[in-house]
Amino acid sequence: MENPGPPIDSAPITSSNRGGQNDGTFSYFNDCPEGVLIKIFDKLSVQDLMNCRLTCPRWDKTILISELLDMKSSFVFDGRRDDNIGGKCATYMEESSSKNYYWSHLKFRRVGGRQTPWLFDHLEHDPDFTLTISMLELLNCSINWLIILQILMYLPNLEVFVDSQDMYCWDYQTFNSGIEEDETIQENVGFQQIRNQDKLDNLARLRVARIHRSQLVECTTYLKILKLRSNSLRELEITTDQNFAPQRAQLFYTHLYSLLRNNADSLKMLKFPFKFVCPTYDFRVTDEHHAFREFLNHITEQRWSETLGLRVLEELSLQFGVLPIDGQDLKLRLVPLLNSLHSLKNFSMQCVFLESGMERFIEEFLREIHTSQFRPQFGIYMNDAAGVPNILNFQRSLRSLSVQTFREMAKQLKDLIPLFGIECYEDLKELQYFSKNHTFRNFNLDLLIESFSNLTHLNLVDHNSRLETRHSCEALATIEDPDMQLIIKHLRKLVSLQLIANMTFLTDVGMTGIDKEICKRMQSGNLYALSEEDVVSGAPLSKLQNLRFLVLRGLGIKVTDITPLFAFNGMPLLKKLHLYGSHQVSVLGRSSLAQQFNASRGCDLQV
Amino acid sequence: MALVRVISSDGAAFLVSQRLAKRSGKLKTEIETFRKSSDNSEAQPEIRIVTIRAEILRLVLQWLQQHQNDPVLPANQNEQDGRGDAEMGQSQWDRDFLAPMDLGIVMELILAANHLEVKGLLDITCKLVESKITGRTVDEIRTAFKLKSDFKGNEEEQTRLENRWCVEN
Repeated sequence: MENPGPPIDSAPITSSNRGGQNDGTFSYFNDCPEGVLIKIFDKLSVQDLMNCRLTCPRWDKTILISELLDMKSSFVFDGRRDDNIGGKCATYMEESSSKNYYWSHLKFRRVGGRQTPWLFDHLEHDPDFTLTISMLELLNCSINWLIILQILMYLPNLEVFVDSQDMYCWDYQTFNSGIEEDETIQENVGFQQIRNQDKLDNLARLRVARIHRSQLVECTTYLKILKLRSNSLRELEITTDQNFAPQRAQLFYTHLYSLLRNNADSLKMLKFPFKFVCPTYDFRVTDEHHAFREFLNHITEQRWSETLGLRVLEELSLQFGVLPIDGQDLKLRLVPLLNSLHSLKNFSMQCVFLESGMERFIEEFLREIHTSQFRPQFGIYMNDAAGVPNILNFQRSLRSLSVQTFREMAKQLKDLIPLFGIECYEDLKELQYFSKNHTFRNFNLDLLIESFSNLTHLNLVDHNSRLETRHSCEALATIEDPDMQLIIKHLRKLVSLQLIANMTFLTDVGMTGIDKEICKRMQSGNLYALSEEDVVSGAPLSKLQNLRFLVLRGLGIKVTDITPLFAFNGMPLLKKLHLYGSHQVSVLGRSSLAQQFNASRGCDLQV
Repeated sequence: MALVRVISSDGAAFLVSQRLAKRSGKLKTEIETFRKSSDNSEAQPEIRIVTIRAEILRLVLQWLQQHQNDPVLPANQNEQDGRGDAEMGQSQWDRDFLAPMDLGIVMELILAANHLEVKGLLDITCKLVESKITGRTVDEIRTAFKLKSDFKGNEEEQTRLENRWCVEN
């Protein structure tokens, strides 16, 4: 009789003493039940799953049946990469045996008008494919609203629709004309047809709409499209880069109002209308403050707080610039709206321009809504033009902070933020610092990490030069090896990191954590490999596992091939990697990066 | 202390406490079935596991003994937040436990854990296998797991083509 007893002896346990089974053809997975296999595959990334599919037919089938890829990945058609007229995509769709149950998400990148004929052909004749699509994302596509509307019509189960356009749309004109929903003016035959076929009903199933267009008029057209039928939207996000001219804004809000009314019973999240633009200009001379005034006028005139009835709205995010003269308006006009939203849990206001002496408006505003269920969050933009505003009284409400220096006085970051390095700004997630003066020298990274330990976005820019070329940087504030290692070690939550600074002294050691001696050996021997005795004492950039965007500008000649080879291994989420400067990355490093972050991953790589 | 005899496919018998054995879903059911069918409540249950050989069964029991005081998690709780698995698998003892094993043993252990319904052990072993796949090339995976790429016709090419249109969300 045996007991389970003694701890395992140190001898390696192998399967070699297995009776009879070990005949060389045996595969470990022969008797593995499907459920267990799926459990193993469950946490793998899409790239790993794609590799597994290619190993053997059984795994291939198991992965397909599990629908893991379906859940984790999307079908991507890239108008420029794949084919000009959609031929390759068409072939794939005709010949693939598994296409029909494979994807639920559809992404179009850079698709233009030329590709639309085959697209419609397939959408029309391949109901199996269109039935499963629950999400459609358009990225920098140049197709007009009529075509977009038609695509939407072919997807009966669409729940999420995303259109983001970073560039000026080639079809701007058709968006400009928009849809005239007034029955008497409809001259557009295509639209008439869609309307007559009553296919617009698909819009009613839409749950989430996220639109980012550079032109306000395009956004307005989207509001009109959505307004036609949508009545159960849960999330609406509509943003633009453009400043609001008052007459345009009027139209935007009119349509927004009726869309919100139609969806008042279902809408849980609402976000509009500006993208956070990099504050390179003086805020006060722009139109942006009009936008906020316009909005406040609108909600007062239309009596949003009484007539809209957004009963279930939980999250409201406004992205405006607030001018000091609007300070009282916050209290008098915005508070009633917020107090009418009974389910509100999160309220945030981004891009709030704060001047010294105007802190009290925000403090007052916070006191007014103090009794409510939600905690407001602010994204503050401030500069030192008229003294540094004191943000300490509402630091718990700060979500993001953008600081800009003009004055000669500020030599380091700690001159600008009160109690920097002493007080901890736990709730602050995004920090942007932008230097415009010639005397700024020090980011105080050690203090920064103490004060802002929970950062997800960090953007440090010393940009006193007028030279805007990609490769030169005349920054004075330096970032060196210990600084980079501090960031890697302490700011593990970072999603986005941009550094534009003097990084002349930054070396491979700071980027990869590999000791200087070992780096030297690799360079002199031209042999880029670590041996077993090599001790790596630091951490590579890839330890920042959540990182999606990484931009380093101003690198010096001390960054060599070691960085691309060792700093970025296994960063599944990285979507943008820009390394600019006079670095010495050769073809070897470049090709290694290109292999890792190839275009099929949708990664934007510039070295 | 109430005991139970657990017998492996190759006939080795392990005498373990019922309290420990009941941490395996399968053994728990078996013990209860035995209780119901037996008149003598004092009788020692005997359970024959025909699919697991002694060496593997010993490892499973060893793992159970080490983890006998862990809280028993409901079968699907971990899936909800996705963190549970990782936390379960992180103990130093587990790492030392798995370290000397080759993949064949790990696979047998997975099958055993699955059969005996020992969730914690299944989690850490699956995680180990998962880590052997992550970041590897197709050929490396094939070699490591002794997989046969017996694709028929153009199946492999087809899969390769399908992968091309597919990208992480």
